[in-house]
This record gives sequence, C-alpha cells and structure tokens, in this order.
Amino acid sequence: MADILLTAWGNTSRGDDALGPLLLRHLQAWARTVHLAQHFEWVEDFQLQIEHALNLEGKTLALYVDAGQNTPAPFSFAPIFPLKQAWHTTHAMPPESVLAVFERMAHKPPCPAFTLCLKGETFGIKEGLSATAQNHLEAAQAFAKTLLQNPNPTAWNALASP
Amino acid sequence: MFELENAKATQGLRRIAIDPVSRVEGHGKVTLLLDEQNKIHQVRLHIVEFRGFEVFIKGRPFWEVPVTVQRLCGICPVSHSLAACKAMDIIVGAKQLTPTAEKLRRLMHYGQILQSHAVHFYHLASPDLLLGFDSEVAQRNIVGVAAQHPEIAKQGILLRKYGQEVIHLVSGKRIHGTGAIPGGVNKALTAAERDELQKNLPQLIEWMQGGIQVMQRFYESNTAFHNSFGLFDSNMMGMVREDGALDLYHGYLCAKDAQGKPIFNRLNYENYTQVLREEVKPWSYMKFPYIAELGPEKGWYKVGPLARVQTCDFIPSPLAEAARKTLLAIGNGQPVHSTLSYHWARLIEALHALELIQSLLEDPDLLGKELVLSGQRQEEGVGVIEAPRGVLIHHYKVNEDDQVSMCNLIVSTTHNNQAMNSAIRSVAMQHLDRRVISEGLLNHIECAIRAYDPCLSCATHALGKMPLLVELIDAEGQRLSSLARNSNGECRADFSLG
Repeated sequence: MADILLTAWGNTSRGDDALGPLLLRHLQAWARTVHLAQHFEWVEDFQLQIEHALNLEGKTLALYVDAGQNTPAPFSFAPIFPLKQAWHTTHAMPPESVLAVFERMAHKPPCPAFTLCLKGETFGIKEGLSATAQNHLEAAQAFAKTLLQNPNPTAWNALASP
Repeated sequence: MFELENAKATQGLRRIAIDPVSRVEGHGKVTLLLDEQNKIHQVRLHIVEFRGFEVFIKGRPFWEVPVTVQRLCGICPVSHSLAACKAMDIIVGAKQLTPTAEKLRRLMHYGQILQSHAVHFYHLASPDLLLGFDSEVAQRNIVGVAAQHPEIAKQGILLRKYGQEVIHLVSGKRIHGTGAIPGGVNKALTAAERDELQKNLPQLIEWMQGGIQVMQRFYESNTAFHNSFGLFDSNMMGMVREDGALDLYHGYLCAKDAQGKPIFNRLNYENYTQVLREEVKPWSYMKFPYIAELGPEKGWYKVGPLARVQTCDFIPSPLAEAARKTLLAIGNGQPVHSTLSYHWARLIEALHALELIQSLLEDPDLLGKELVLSGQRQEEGVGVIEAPRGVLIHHYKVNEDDQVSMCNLIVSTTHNNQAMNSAIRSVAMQHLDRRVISEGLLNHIECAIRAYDPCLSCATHALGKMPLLVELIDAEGQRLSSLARNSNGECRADFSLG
C-alpha cells in the first residue's frame, strides 16, 4: 500500500485553477517512468471535502497541491497543521481542516503534511493556463520531483519556503 | 387555508426566524410568530432564493438542455439530466432506447440515488439521530458523528464515494457529467470499469444493511416520540412499474390517499397536467402542487422515499423488500406517516440501489456498443424520473429550429412543499408551543424539514408569477424607490421616496 499521499484540487475548466491537477498528472506520469508511482496515492478532485480525511489513514507523509491567487510566485511550499477550529460545514475545505477532521475521526494526529501552492493569474471559465501560470507549473514540476525523490519530513521541512 | 399558515392578527406577536435552515441543500428559512405566552400563531417555511431556468432555457438548442439543467443542483444533477434526456428522447423520436443505453442510464441513476441518500443520512441527518436533536450544537455535525461513531461515519463517506464513482465511470464526471444524451448515451462502459465497480459491493451492501439497523434501533429506542414527531396525514405519490414494483427510472405515476387507497393509478406521466396543478402563495418562492380533482386544500401530497415505498406494491430486490416490510409493520396495517420514517425509507432505497447496481453489473448488455437511437422528430416531450427526493417532471416543447420554446419543471422538493410546512407546524405545536424556546427546540423544526431532504435550490423557479420586491437603496440605507410584483404578476411601483 502506498504510504505517501499526494492530493491536488482545482477545476481544469477554470484557467489557472487547473494548476494543481496538471501538476499531479505530470508527476504521476513521471513517477511511472522512474518506478516510483507505487509509493504514492494520487488523489485529484475539484475541492477538498471531509472524505479526503480518509485518505490520510496509514500515511506517513502528505502533500496538498493547489493554485493560489495573490500568493508567492512561482510557488510556495510549507508545512501545515490541523486547524484548531476546523471548517467543515461548507462546500470546500482548506487542507488544514482536512487534517483536523482526520485527527477528530482517528483520535490521533495526522502524518506530517505540506502544501505546494502554485500562483495563478486568471481563474475565469476557459481551458488552458495563462503564460505566467505555465511558467509556474514548470518550476513546480522540477521542485516537486525533488520532493518525491526524497520523501521524508525532515528533508521537506528543509525545503520549505522562508 | 391551513392551520398556522396565517396568524389571525400579527400585531403584538414576536417573530423568531431560523435563517438559514441548516444541513439542507439550498437556502430557506422558517418563521414563527408567537405571543407573550409563547403560544404559536403562525409557522412558515420560506424559500428565499429563486432560479429562472424555465425562462432562460427558452431559445436554447434542445440538445444543450440535459447538460444545462444539471446546473440546477450540485446534489442531484444526474436526475435533472436524465429527466431532461427522457423528454428529449421523445423529441428525437427515440422513446425506446437500446438495452445498453437504458441500462447505463439506470446504472448512473442508481449511483445517484445511492450517493444522494448516503450524503443525506450520514452527513446531514445522522448528527441529529445519533447525537440528539438538542445535543451540543458545535458537535452536531458529521465531524462530531465521526468522533463518536467513526465506523458509521466512515461507512457513510465510502458509500457516497462509491455512488459518485458509479456516476463518474458512466457519465465521465462525478458531478455534471455528460454521459446521457437525447436518444441514449455517448459512452460505453468498459469491462475494466465494470470490474472496478464490482469490487467491494458485498461490503457496501452489508454496511447499508447496518445503516438500516441503526435507524431501526433509533426508532425502537423511543417509539412514541418517533411515531408522533411531525405527524400528519397526507396523500402520497410515486412511480411504479406496470406490475406495481417500485421503479426509480421509468414507470407510471400512482397516488394514494392517507389510508392507502388509490387516487389515481398507472397514469402515463405524459398526462401529468391532467392530474396536477400548482398554487402560488405570496410568502414563498416555491409553488404548492396539488392533485386537481381534490383541490389545493385536500389534494396536496408527499413524494420521496416514504411515499415511494408505500405507493409501490413491492420493491423488486430481496433485501430492500424485506427491509420495507419491516418498516411498514410499524403502521399496523395503516400507511406510515411519521416524518422521521423518511430516513428509514431512504436507507431502504439506498440498499435497493446497491442491489440494482449489483444486478446490472452482472448483465452482459451493460457492455454493449449500441448506444444511440433516433426516429421521427417530435415537438413535445415529457420526462419523469424518481429523483432521490421524489418525482421530478421535465416538460419541453421544441420548435422547428430545434430551440426550446416551452419548459416546465416540477421538481421533487416542490411536491413536498405543503408536507414540509405541515410537518413543521406539527412539530411546533408538539414541542414549542407555550414553552421557552431554545436552540435545541428550534432544531426540532429543522429536523422535520431535514427528514424530507429538501433541495431548495432545485425547487425554486419562476414562471412569471413569482412574487418579487425590488428596492433601490442609497448609500445611507434609505429606500429611494421600489417595484413590487405580486403572485398574479401585477406590478406596483413606489417612487414616492425617490
């Protein structure tokens, strides 16, 4: 069973909101070629919901990938922790709430978790990334491959954005 | 006029609003008018949003409609798509689909029934049932259930996920898929996809049977409360096969009275306008349907799981039929009308959906390649389906340029409008009248609404008769002018302050 969770979310019909899913698909294809895919559980969705907490069961490390507005370019990478006041009552949740839901359901802390947030520019209804987002995606692809080649919390913490 | 619908005089009465009603799809509110002794004089469920699908779908190409109408709802888009497709099947002259197309649509529909029922029971209703109607409000949610009953919460989440996966593999997406098209479907199912869906089915069926037992234990823990909560008699309507079996995808409309006697039987749903009418009231954006021959006062009815399991003669899958008999036994030979029994019936239907999915996945027709038919073009089509919340009617006319010229939707929750109002009035009199009102007691009102699993965003739509008030407010909050339209479509402008 894969023990590292990779979750990306976004709407591929909403311009740069596709950054997360596109990165995940790229990494999954790449991981197959270098025989790493079996170590990862790959989850893609439109938005995070409480059921994504179930994916954390039995995992040793988790990475959440999303597009951001007004976030650092080309991307930011940081550890995340369960939200004390979990937000679970609406249509979408931040990953910190997913961690909190897991904690409450499993009565134990979740595995170390990180977010990789790629900066987007346009989120209107259209297919395809903006030119800037395409550059951000390419930068994130290279960075994420280094993460997947060395999947341990200490190494990932050392790579966290300042 | 219904008891507690309109207070005799509102002067001096105190108003309590539950706004918004929580853990339902869409936006609604409940208002109560009470006097100084907390005697209740008026209770209303208001629907406070509206959508204009029937109007803006006009002029659009008919083949767009099954995709467009899915945007009515994020919970039951498959139902809207399939109801529209069934109507458009008639338009394209393909009333009878290929066996593969019909079975794929049915598979998609049963996945929808399962996921919708699971999300309602486990995510929305179980906090009340498992933690208590007046339990700590901060814990009264699915995460609170997960903390105290982790296995039940996990099963609910995975049951929903499976239903969504069925929809995904048949229609291309979990939400707003495009698999069903006028005349059939546009995507075949592969053997690998079928095999994937067959995994874990026995486990899911076992979990759903466990869910029904949870509901049965809840009932048995306080039968007097359960039997009386939100109790009122009403007519019931549902769709059945020619042999009287429950059929969630296609069949005839049947209506029974509160004692279970037929009002109309085996009605071709294309003739729905012969038996149904809709009433508009000035205080709600949702219409009030009724059976024409009985009139608005006596002709209203309920639809959805509790109505369906009692308008049919039997459920054509063994585990669900056995569970149905257990539920009906609590009525001692009379129909069951207690509001909370909706949850029980809903789980029975979810079990039925799983049994049907299992059966379909073993059917070789499912992997066929003949997907679409067409025939002689028609101008008008009616499509009816049993959506998770009840009978869903889509009716269209299409002109010679292939544009929709008329659209009428009677959405499941709309049928239950009067029933929900009756339920909350019953609960208000039983549990709130002349008592100090607390959050927990107000939640009793919400529990009565939740039992119907209303989809308020689906159920509100305008056909030119919706009462509307538009006000122009300046930066200081002063009203400059207003324009009001009443339920008869008459407009009155007030520019006196402008």
